[in-house]
Formats: sequence, C-alpha cells, structure tokens
Amino acid sequence: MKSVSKIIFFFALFLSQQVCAEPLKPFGAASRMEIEKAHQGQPMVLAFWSVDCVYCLDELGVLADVVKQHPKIKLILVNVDGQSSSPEINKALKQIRLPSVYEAWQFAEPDEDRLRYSIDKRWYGELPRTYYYDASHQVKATSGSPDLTWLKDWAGKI
Amino acid sequence: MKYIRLIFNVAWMVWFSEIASAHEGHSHGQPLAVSVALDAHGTLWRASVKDGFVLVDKSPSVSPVVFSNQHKLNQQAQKIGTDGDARPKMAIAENGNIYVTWTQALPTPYSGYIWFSRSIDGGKTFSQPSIVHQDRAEITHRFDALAVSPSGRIYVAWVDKRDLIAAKKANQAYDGAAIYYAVSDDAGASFSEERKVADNSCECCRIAMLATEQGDAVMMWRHLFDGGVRDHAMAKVSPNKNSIAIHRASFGNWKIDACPHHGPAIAKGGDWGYHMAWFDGGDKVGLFYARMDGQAWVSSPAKRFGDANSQAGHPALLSDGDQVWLAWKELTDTASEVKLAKSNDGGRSWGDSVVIAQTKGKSDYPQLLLKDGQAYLAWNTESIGLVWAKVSQ
Repeated sequence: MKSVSKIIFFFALFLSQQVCAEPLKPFGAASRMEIEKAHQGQPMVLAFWSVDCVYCLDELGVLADVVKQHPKIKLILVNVDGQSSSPEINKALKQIRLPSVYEAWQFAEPDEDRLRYSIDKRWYGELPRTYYYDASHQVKATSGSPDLTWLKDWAGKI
Repeated sequence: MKYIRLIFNVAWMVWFSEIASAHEGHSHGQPLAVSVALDAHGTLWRASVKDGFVLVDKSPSVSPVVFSNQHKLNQQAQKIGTDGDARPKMAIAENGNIYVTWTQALPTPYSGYIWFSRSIDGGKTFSQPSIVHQDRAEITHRFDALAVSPSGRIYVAWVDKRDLIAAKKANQAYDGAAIYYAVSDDAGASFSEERKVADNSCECCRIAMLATEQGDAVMMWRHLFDGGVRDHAMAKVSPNKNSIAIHRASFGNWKIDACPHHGPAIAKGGDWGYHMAWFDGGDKVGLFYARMDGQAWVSSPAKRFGDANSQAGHPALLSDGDQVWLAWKELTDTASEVKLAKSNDGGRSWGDSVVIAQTKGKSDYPQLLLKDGQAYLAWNTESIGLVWAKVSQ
C-alpha cells in the first residue's frame, strides 16, 4: 500500500513539474557577472529578448540550432519583460526547439533602464541584443538578427 | 477510499502548480508612462495607467502639482501598453475638450486595439471608450499617436500590420508594418474609416505627430528604407488629399533587423517647416536634431546632442516662435537626468546642454509644455512623482 501511494505521489510530483515549466531566474544588476563567473572558461551566448519583439523568437531559434550543433556553447536567455508573467514567457519559449540544456532568466529590477545600463552602457534597448563569449570570454556584442555566416564561423572556431 | 483521496491529491497538486506558475512576473510597481497636457485655464491634466485602467486626473495649480478628481476611463481592466515607447496619450482642444487614446494589448503576440475616450464638459465626465479603427482583426494596431488641430480636428495614428498579413497570405515579401490614421471632424463623436499613410514602418517605435493651423497632420516615424535601413520618414497628411508623399527625414543608415523601441519627436517651426529629434543606432549612435523644410522637404545636417555613453535618448521638443527647447534623458552611474538645450534662432544655433532634473530611482521619458510663453518640464519619477519645473534658460 505504501509503495502504491509513493508511486502516485511521485507521479503527481512529475505531473506538477510538467505543468510548471522551468522557473525563470530573476536577473538583477549583478546577474551578468554571476553568469560569467558560473561559466568561466566556457563559451556561451547571452541573449536578451522580449515577447514583444518580432525579431527575437527567430533569433532564439537560430541560436538554439547553433547550440544544438555545438553543445559546448552554453545558451543563456534573458527575457526583458519584467511585467510579463512566467506563463507568457514560457509559452513564447515553447515555440522554439530549445536545446536540452539552457538557462532562462527574467528582468527583475524595477528600473529596467538602469538594469540595462548596468549590463552594458552601449546597449540602448534595441532587441534582440546578444553577447557571444568564446572560451576565454572575449565578448562580441550584437544588436538585431545575427549574421548567419559570421555566427557559423564563430561557433565553428569554439 | 485512500486511492480516491490520492487521486484528489494528484488533481490538487496539478492545479496548485498551475496557480503557482501564473504569478504576474516580478514586482515592478505602477507604470510611470504618463501623458500630460494643459488646458486654457492653466490646469495640468494627466493620463496614466494603474491596474489595467486608464486614469485621468488634474492639478488645478502647478505650484505645487497636486492631482485630484480621478476618472477611470475603461470600465473593464485591460492589458494596456506602457512598455518601451507605449503610453496613454492625451490632447486638449482649444475649446477645452479632452481626448485620450491608448493601446490595449490582445492575447495574440504583438496585437492590439487603439481605444479613444473624450470629455466634452471640461473633464467632468468622460465617454465610454470606443475602438478607433474599423479593422477588428486581432493583429497589430499599436503605438497610438494623438493630436488635435487649432480648428478641433482630431488625428489618431498608429502602427498597423494588416498589409503585412495580407502580403504573407499572398506569399509576397513585406518589410515592417504600416502607419494608418483616422480623423474626427465632430470632436471625437465618430472617426473616419482609417487610411494608410505609409507601408514599411518600423514595428515598435512611437510616431511623432502634430496637427497644423490648416487642419493637416504632420507625422514622423522610424521607417524601413531599402536594404533594411531604419531611418526616419515624414509625411504631411490631409483627409482631403488622396496621395501622401513620404519624405526621408534622417540619414543615419542604421541597418538592423531589430526593435529599437525608440521613436522621434517633432515640433512646429516657423513658416519654413519643422524641428525634428531622433535616436540613431549603429556606428554613429546617439541623439540628433535637424530642421526639416516643409516645402522642399529637405533636412538640415543632423546635429548631435547628449552623451551616447550615457544613453542619451527619448527626446522631447517644444517651440514658441524662434525659441526651441530640446530635452532628453540620460543615465549616470547613480541617477537618471533630464538634459536640456535651447535655441533662440529657430534651431540654427544652440546653447550649452544643462541638467535640469535628476532622480535616483526609476523615471519616465521627459515631456515639454508651454505655459504663458514659458517652457516647463514634466517628468514622471518613482521617488518624487511628477516633476513639474520651469525651464529657466
């Protein structure tokens, strides 16, 4: 009897996790440094996006494909819609075939202009905004849809 | 019995997990995106958004600014655009009528309706809101702009994606969105069927618009020119004319497939034309000003303002005869600032830029208003509320 209830309990736990997608990590003023530290020595793509940006989901799809082909590259997604609910964001993310491993963050500072400034003074709010880190964390920042030739070349060298 | 209880528990856990994941994002307080306008008696009116409602209130005196007499314009809560360049808009006619527009975000991504409400009794009561456009598809109708001419004609313009969707259905290429407008000649009791101003606008930037003495509207917006270049375009729109000429207004050549969330500002110049201010990205990133000749539609060389390393942007323009004021927002390591520059010769030459307001916390974009021939800054801030300050230059 006990084992049956245990099975049902874990089944329930499993079901509840299926419904509740990966929680979004709160992205604050120190988060970029925290992420860089956590992935020291690893190539990564740090991609800022919004549910309200028509170019963003296409870009995330391209990045997801690249990361699937080059699993050494970590994919870190940061949603900038602080006022959006997590189901809205997860619903948007579900439209993309993401790699099995990625991180999803969400802006969590009341002053989003200041948060952006603390991330990068030369980012003016245009989206998508992406930072490409090689293994030694040499960074290239880009705004807008990625140049596919460049991206393939960059990922190939990783 | 135990099994029934367990099944009940399973259902409960699944239900609970749905509730748990449906929280409304992280706490961000009330949106700071407001619009303000002055009536003929010097009363300051404000349109703001709280908990899904558009609110209008007024401050009979501006020293100090104290708002009261709040009206709720929509009876049902809506998801109202207050992010990026979106905000409720307000315009006051010379006869004291108050007009308000806003964008309701709909469930389909990027979609929305533009709503309108008016007061024809000097702000005592406001009408039931109505949707301005006749197209009711759940597609993009967003980034409303509002202006009223001295004769009382109301213009509402917005970013619209019906042509993009039609092109997609026909397997044709279409870049960006379109600018549409509707006009009212009966003080907002009704609006004309909407008409297109231009194809291929940027999707996510505010439209700058003014209405002239002659009853025309002049609009400036970020446009998608050949090769994906997001420079600005300008057009003079008249309901009596069928053709609309689109003029290129800026030449920064920012080639990008992105949403800049950063629209321009315009103000009426003398008989010669218009003042323009805008943000440009790319190699020459920064804030710029130029004059546009309203006959020849040729612009003066772009003049840079502010510090691009301090996020100079989100300009406001105000003119009174040959006096022109340009305000914009910048960030420092510890504060947000509004900077201002003034010209006394119609924008040909400019004085030094000075910081006219500062706040430590979150802040809105600056607005400039004219009261008794004097320029004022209106700037909504989280820590000190609405800053209302005479611009001393």
